[in-house]
Amino acid sequence: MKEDQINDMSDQYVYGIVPAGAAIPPGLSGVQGEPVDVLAAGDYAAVVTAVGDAESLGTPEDLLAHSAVLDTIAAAGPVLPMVFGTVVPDADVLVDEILPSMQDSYAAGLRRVRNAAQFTVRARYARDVVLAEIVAENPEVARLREATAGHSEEASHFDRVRLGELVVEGLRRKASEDSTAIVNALSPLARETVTREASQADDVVELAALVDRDAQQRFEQEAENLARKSAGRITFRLLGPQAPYDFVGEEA
Amino acid sequence: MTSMAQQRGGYIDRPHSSSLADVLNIILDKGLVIDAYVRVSLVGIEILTIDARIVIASVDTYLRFAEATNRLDLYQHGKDLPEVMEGLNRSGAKGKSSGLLSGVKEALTGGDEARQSRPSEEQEERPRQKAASRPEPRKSE
Repeated sequence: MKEDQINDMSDQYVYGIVPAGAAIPPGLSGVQGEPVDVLAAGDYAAVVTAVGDAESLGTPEDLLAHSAVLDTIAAAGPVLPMVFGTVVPDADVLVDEILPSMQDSYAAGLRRVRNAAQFTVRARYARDVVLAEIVAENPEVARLREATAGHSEEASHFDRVRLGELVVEGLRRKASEDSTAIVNALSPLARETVTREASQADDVVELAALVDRDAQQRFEQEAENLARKSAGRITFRLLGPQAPYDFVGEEA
Repeated sequence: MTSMAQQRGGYIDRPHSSSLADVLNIILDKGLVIDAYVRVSLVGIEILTIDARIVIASVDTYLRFAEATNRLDLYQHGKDLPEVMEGLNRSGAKGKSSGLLSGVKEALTGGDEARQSRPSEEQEERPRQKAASRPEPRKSE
């Protein structure tokens, strides 16, 4: 797969690892808009882009290209994603040193994700709907809402802080229930799952699932069912098939 | 293929490719690491991310949600409306960080803090992302 001497000498941006001989979708556009190549050694191959100027790597466009390349490959076959920003000095280092020394590790990694892809489900509250629930359910919230409504932020600062604190607590309490229902519905359809904590107060849950290709449709259908049942109250975003970003390395 | 994905789903938001916020949230810092080689860091969005970072249990978040709760019109009896509008106007400037940046913001908090059951060895080298997670100077209220 080596193109020419110049490419061999170039820094290699590494997206991930695939089984040697795996068919990579043609025409992929990689970091810096450059083409994507494959460097094989032994049973495994690195998906790479030869980069002329590694110093200029790392833009948001590169990050998008990194994920687009990996997700496109993952839609068709197994791939172990490298962490974003992985660059090795030249092709020889990869082929002669890194790939040979990592065969066992890559074998285990690929076994884990064989015939599967990652899906990521993010559920978030429709804010006003759930805030209204909290106002209706919690008299103290309702009282503070009334008490602060007519006053400037400065004049009602402490009441506002308390109101917001109660509301956020209410959201977290609801999220712990609703996220359990979501995880319980989707987990049986996944080989493995990882749940991430909320990063926003109105997040319900973010779930990464390693889903067998055979089960993909059922998983998607169940996610759609959940979205339909919660329509108007919780919004769902489903990403995938993706490379198994949350399911590489040692098994959790 | 990803291009098929967008056709699916009625209630679910099913983008055919990940947005930058998605990618920041889901994949930044995730993946295998090749030992002994330094990673190239994400550049170009640090300023955004420092400004954008948010902590759920913070006064800033509380005030934002207090404001959102006050803005609800569920008990709207007419007399509330001018007051609601007033509150809205007052908070206009403050609100500016919550719209555009929220994607990046949540993305970075998600990526940085909320990872669970991740093999620790993969998290060693995260040079530049440190910028995103350092305790930021919040705008004073």
